[in-house]
Amino acid sequence: MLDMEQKLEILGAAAKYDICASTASPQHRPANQNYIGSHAPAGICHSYTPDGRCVSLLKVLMTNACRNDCKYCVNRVSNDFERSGFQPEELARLFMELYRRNYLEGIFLTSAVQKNSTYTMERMIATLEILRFKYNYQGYVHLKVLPHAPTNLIERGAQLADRMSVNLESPSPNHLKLIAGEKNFMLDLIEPMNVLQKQVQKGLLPAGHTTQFAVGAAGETDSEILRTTNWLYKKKSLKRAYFSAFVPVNELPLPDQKPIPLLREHRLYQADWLMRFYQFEQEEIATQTDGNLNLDFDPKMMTAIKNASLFPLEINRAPFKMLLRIPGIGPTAARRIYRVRKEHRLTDINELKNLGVVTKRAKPFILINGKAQGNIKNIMTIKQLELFQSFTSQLAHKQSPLLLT
Amino acid sequence: MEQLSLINLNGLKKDFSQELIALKTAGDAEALHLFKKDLFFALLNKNPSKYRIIDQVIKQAGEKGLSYVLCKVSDEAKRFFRLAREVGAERYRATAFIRLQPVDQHRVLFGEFEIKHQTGELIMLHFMKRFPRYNIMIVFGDEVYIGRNKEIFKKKLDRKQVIIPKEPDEFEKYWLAFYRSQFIPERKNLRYLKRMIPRQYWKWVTELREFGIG
Repeated sequence: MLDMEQKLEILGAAAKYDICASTASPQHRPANQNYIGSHAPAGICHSYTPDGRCVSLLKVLMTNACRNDCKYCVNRVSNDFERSGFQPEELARLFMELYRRNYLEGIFLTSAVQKNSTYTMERMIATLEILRFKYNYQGYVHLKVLPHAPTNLIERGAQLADRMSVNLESPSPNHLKLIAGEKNFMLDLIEPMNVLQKQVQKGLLPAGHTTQFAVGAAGETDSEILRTTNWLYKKKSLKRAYFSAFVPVNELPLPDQKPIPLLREHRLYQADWLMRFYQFEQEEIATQTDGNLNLDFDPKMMTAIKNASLFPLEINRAPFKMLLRIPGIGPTAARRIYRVRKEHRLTDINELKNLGVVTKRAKPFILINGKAQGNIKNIMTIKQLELFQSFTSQLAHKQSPLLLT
Repeated sequence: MEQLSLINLNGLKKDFSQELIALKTAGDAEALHLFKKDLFFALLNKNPSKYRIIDQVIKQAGEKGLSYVLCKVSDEAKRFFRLAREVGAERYRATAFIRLQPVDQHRVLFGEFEIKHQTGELIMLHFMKRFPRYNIMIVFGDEVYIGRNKEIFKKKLDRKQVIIPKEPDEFEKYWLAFYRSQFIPERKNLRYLKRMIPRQYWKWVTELREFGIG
């Protein structure tokens, strides 16, 4: 019989590859006087692990006893290791005691599929009901939807949780078949997502619904992942996608798979931010001929270089959408430039620096009062410069002379 | 024991009301609201030159518009927002890293922290809202703040006279077990960790010692 400390080590470790650590939620639930817990609008990170990741949620599995045999997953039935699980009351009490001590900002409840999805989801929901009704907990809850979960349980979960998520893991049915043959992409994953979308439209799930991809596990390209992500944002009201570089653990039965570089995951996040906050269309984001993002250049710089004929842009006149396409200018800086130039003409690179522009990156792409600010060669490493020269030789006819002189 | 009033945006420590009225023509209502909020935070900063910096930005806002200041075009505006940001960051880190200890039959949650700026009341408000059925007691250096029934009291504390009890707590053990379980060795990145938790806060984030940090 495992004690609580051992259970936490096993069931916490099994859940650590679920990435979402966000606790930001706009809604304050109506509460009686006896409540406990609150939301911080922007979320709070109560600790960080030596990998720099935020620890804000009690992220644990209800159980790691799984009937499925997904090849990418450490909890698969064919993997020989110790199984354990929480009772709903036990987990609820543990969480409340940790929350009261201000170790945590909320709970992220997920699980392996024990017996079947209905049985396991019922136990997860029972835990949340204890939290909400017995302990009057009003803080943040993220509930994972298990594949093929019944609609009524998803709807019940949406009344209790701030955020719910379905892990797609792969961008298409064919890719999913390679790593999790027992799961049906449309029936087990997209159908529950449709139910979640309806709950969001009803005004439930104030922090929205999310998904996660195991990047590289099924040999998919970045373009395929981004295309699916874009479709989910536009058609399924997805709040955001998470990307987790595939790490082979415990001799996974995917012999040809090597660990995916973390930089690839980082580039996917950068591209995702371009779609969510920089008004980029997915098709606009430059990828290589193999369908992957370039690891040497960030996607925004890569896209700017491939569209060099659009630059440099006059900072006092460029439309907002184009300001967002200049490397070194993010949404906040773009909004500030847009706002301040209505009353004040920008004349100096230091003013842009104060506005939050990363001027070193932006200089080659901008004009201030008609004056060029820098050469793109000055902001690159030797390796990047070699790559850049190979691009520009292909794109010579499009190249703006101001970028290179 | 000194009783503190709950903080609101009208409770500014120095009267800038005349200057703020004059700024009504320097920008729209939203801009003025944002400026007032940052002004409030800047005033809680312990930096002795805060009043000079605030006077400078108010003058600039009057001459060039509130947007000029809010968008931090000038160096003075940047310094002003740094004052506000330092206060906001201290408040945020206190709400993140203060560990509370339930005492006295669980009706009191007790914690300890060090603050540089006048953020004590802001921090108390956060915990009082989160745990309304508890009395909150937090020691900040040589002052103790007590939050009870929506009121905050403050008292000087002689640290030589007062010994703060530290009871053994099984849930600390569970927290450490969970914390250890979340680390992914393949992603180890101590530089990033140090950026997220500046060194001066390490003594409060005791779980870092599980990995020999701090």
